[in-house]
Amino acid sequence: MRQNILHRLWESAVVLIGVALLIFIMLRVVPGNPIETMMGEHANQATIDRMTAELGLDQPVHIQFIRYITGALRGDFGTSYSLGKPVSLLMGAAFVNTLKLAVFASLFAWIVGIICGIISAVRKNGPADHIFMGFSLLGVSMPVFMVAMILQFFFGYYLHWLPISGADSWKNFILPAIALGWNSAAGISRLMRSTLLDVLQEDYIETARAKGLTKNAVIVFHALRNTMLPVITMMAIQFSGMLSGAVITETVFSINGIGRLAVQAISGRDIPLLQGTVLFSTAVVILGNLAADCLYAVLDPRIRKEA
Amino acid sequence: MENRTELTLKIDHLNVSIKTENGLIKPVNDISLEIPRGKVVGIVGESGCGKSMTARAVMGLLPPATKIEGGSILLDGNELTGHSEEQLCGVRGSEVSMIFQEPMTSLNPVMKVGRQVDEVIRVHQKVPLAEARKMTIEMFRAVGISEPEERYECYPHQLSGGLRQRVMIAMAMIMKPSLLIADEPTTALDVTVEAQILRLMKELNKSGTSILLISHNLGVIAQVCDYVYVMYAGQFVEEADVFALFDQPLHPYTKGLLGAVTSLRREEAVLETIHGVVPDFSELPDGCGFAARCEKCMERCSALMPRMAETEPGHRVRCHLYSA
Amino acid sequence: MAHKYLFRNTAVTLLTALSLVLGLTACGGSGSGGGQPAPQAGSQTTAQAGAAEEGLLRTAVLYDISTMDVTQTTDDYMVPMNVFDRLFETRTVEGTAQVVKSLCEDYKVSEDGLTYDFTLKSGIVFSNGSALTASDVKYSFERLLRAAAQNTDIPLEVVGGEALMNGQADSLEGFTVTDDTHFTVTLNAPNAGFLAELSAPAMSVVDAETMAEVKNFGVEPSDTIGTGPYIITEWVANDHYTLVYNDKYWGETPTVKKVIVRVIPDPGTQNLMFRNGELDMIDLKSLDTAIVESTYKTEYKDNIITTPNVGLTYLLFNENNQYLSDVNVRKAIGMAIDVDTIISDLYSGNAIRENGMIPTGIWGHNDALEGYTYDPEAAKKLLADSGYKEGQISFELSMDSTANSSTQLLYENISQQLEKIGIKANVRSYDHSSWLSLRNSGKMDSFVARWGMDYNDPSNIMYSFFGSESNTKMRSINYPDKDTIARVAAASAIVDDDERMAEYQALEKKIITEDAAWIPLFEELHLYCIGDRVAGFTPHWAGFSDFYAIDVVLK
Repeated sequence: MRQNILHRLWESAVVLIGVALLIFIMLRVVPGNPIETMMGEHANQATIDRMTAELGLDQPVHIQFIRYITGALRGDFGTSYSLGKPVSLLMGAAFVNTLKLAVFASLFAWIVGIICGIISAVRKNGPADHIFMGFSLLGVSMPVFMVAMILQFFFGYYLHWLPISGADSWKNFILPAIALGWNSAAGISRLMRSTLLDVLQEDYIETARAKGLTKNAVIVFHALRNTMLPVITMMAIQFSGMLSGAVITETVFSINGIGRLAVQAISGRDIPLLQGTVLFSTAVVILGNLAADCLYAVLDPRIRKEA
Repeated sequence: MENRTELTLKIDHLNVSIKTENGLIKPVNDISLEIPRGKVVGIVGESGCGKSMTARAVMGLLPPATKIEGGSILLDGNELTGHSEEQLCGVRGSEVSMIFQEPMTSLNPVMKVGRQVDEVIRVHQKVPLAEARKMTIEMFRAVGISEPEERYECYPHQLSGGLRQRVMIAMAMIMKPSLLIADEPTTALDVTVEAQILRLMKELNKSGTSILLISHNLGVIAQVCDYVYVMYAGQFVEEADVFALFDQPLHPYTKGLLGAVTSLRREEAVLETIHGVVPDFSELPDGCGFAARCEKCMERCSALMPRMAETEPGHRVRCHLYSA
Repeated sequence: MAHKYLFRNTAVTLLTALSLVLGLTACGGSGSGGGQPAPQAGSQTTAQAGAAEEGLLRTAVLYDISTMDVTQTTDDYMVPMNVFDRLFETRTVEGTAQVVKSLCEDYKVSEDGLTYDFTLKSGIVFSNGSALTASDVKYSFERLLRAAAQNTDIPLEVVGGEALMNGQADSLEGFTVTDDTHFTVTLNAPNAGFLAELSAPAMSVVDAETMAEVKNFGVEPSDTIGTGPYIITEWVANDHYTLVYNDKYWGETPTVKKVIVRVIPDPGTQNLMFRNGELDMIDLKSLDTAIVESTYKTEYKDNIITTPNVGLTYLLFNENNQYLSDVNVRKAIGMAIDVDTIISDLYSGNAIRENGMIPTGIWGHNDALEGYTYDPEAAKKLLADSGYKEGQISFELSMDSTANSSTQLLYENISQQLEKIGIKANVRSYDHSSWLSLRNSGKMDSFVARWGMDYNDPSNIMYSFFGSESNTKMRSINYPDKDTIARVAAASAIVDDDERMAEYQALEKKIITEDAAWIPLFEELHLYCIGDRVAGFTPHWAGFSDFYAIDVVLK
């Protein structure tokens, strides 16, 4: 197991360097001069040339890449063109917000998704099942921005219960978390329901019943852990997705997060920031998958042995 | 438990019905069965004849949409049919327990097998975990699991089919129930393991547990049972002492089953000793359910349901051939 | 055990929230549209609105600033305008933009228009207590050239500017400090617009002593020290920045004591926040036109403040293009575009038609200039007479994908109008970077864009587009007339104001009317909406989104 994790970490490092190289080359191949973009409409050609030289963008790509990697290893990812601050600093601040948002949203999604999924499966075809599944269909099909705007309008503007925007306190994160977690909650509850229904058909469930366990005890002690196997994978993937930024939620609720930074970097041809956010997202997704695999192994002894 | 009666289980005129799209069907139709204390009683029949349903009715584990329509189930003299779910939970696993056909899938894959046995104890008694563990390991030893301490820590996938079935038996026997229901306990196992498991069940029986063995395999029945019920289309068609049944089968269906066994033993090509298939429960005729497949079918067979008739003491058959 | 109950309670709360949302969506069908509650007067119901302290002005922007340093930007002027002062300011006085003295107490210009003697107001200190001296002004000029980044044009006019920028000199030769309050500036060529230029945010005055000490000027608020009415106290990237009144400020005390500018990237959110009383002022440019027209122009019509957004939206052609190099084609295009309808339909009337290059509100604007008359038939005839068949002329209208929705519609509209006279103008969208790159390379066929005025003098726009060969390549895309280019370059040196304006107007006529090298369209109006806590607001003279906070009067 440990061997396997070490191997995966080593692979991850290779993938990261590969991604770094790829994004590095791509950014220099696509049309558009980042300096022109950075300097804006009123800049003249001489200034543009001077800045290009100053930032080393006139150097051969391999020199630039080596410079970037050696800097990155020291934790220096350059200075953002569009926000004028060190990329590491900007990403650090944004990540704190994104992390909070992802944790809150995931908690919401997990709690709601799991509870609704269990209730739906246990009371299959009952009124609660129909309500929850109708809801989750709505959740899966309703775009994030729409959920966000409805929440914002209703709880922020109409009822004045929660702030409309910002990231000052935990209260600010409630609506964004619901907006962002909504889809996930729907997905989790659907997967939870279908998996639990399958699991409840398993022979070992009947064995457990034959032991004298009550229906609820059977669900809690025997069905859930088996049901969680695929659900955990979904959760981990969703969580790492949220960690690499939730552009729409962050934009609607004015939360300075990784997603917004990434979009800003793309539209502003902000090379250092873009490289930073892409590398970060890659790392998060790799780690998220690794974590999911580890969790899976913890929950499922069959995997543990094979690994 | 001084008030134990002579009969561990007495089923009287039990009816089980299922609501389906084609209307109400009766997979268990007016059956009566007795298991005297310390005996092994078998139910034999083709798959789908209602034998598993009968077992589940006793366990109180009938699938949804299935209902006991009448009759009674007395376990050690206690009526089970009116029991609440909570009361049934108290009975299951402690007074009556069950082992299943598929040892491969009947154990929870993500739980150590020892803990799965512990659980039975802890559901029914307030016992510390360490104590439960000791009891489990003891029981493992009793059912012939070598190195029980190590096996206790294993997950199901780490054990062979035979070992898993032993674990299942340990689980079923841990509370020393008065009745053990074994639903095709050896069907999924190979022949040598089958023999071991059957021997183990026989031993357990000698130590006082009554067993209801359900099988489609007359060979298995012959090895362990004292008394046999032959089931067809939700009804018992013949019941007899095991020797009487094998020596002198009366019902054409029983004869057919025995013929199938014999032909297999001779390793000849499978002879279709019983023509056709088990009829659909929703299309049962008014008369004898076996009439359509019976070589000796008479006119009244398809019109009139034959009654159980005793030909000799303890040997009863449901066939117009013997009702004269 | 406690955690189990906690779990259950959380679950119940969340489920309750969920069902509330259900109720909301269920009634959404009937409740949407006109069913919005009226804005609450005073807006004291929310925590946010209730917390608004006295003297606090809360406003929002769609994008964060990238720097607070004028050597690094030509856009982000909000902080420089409020934290720093300049020798002069262009302020709106009684409805017209005027250049007024700020840090400058007095000045004198020599006969030849080359030498300026300035006297600084005395007793002015920076917010950290350091005194303002003539050396600080010199340092500020030199810093722009040493950084050699943005906003070098104005100090480059000073003698020795080029040498300093290229590293051939250590200091700015044409800038002589006499004593702490007196200094002289000598220009390479006379420029009557010089004082107006000195009022540009770029010419903000910084403290030489402080600059020697701090490491992160323009990035770190505590390092960014000026003499202006406000101090920048915090800047949280992509979130907000805060300006607080500088009690060492030399000028009149404003009613606004603190400004919080929040970065709210979603227009819908800005709208809700303003209506909720969480913003005291909103830039209606940030909102969707539909909301402005439906909501703000009705519910808030008395709170709207309108100012010309001084600048020009124009259509330009590449004169190297096989068809667009023909002046008759360009003229036909000028006649084919119905500007008045564009203004009424696409801009809801929030624009002024422009006939020339010197927009309304700028010195030298020519009211009498005759523009193109919308006449598609005449345009068609002109093309036919010039030997073109219908559908023969085709070129690309290159659009910057980050352009706002009105501009995107404008592109489509122009393309459709040109189709009516048999010209195929294909609209193609580029991302911002690629668009700029293509334009600057001189290979773009044609485009529509807006030029915002940096200072109140026609030289700003005329020079930027037609004043040098590098400028004509990237901005007016290969305008070929070298004679006109030379005249534009020379015009700023004409000392006599009337003479100079006459020359600019003559050049305007040559470029627009004769050469049809530039099709002027309109000048947009900039609309703001003020909330209940604001008594009045005078926007920036040129209609910048950035504003002087001292020009906001709180109730």
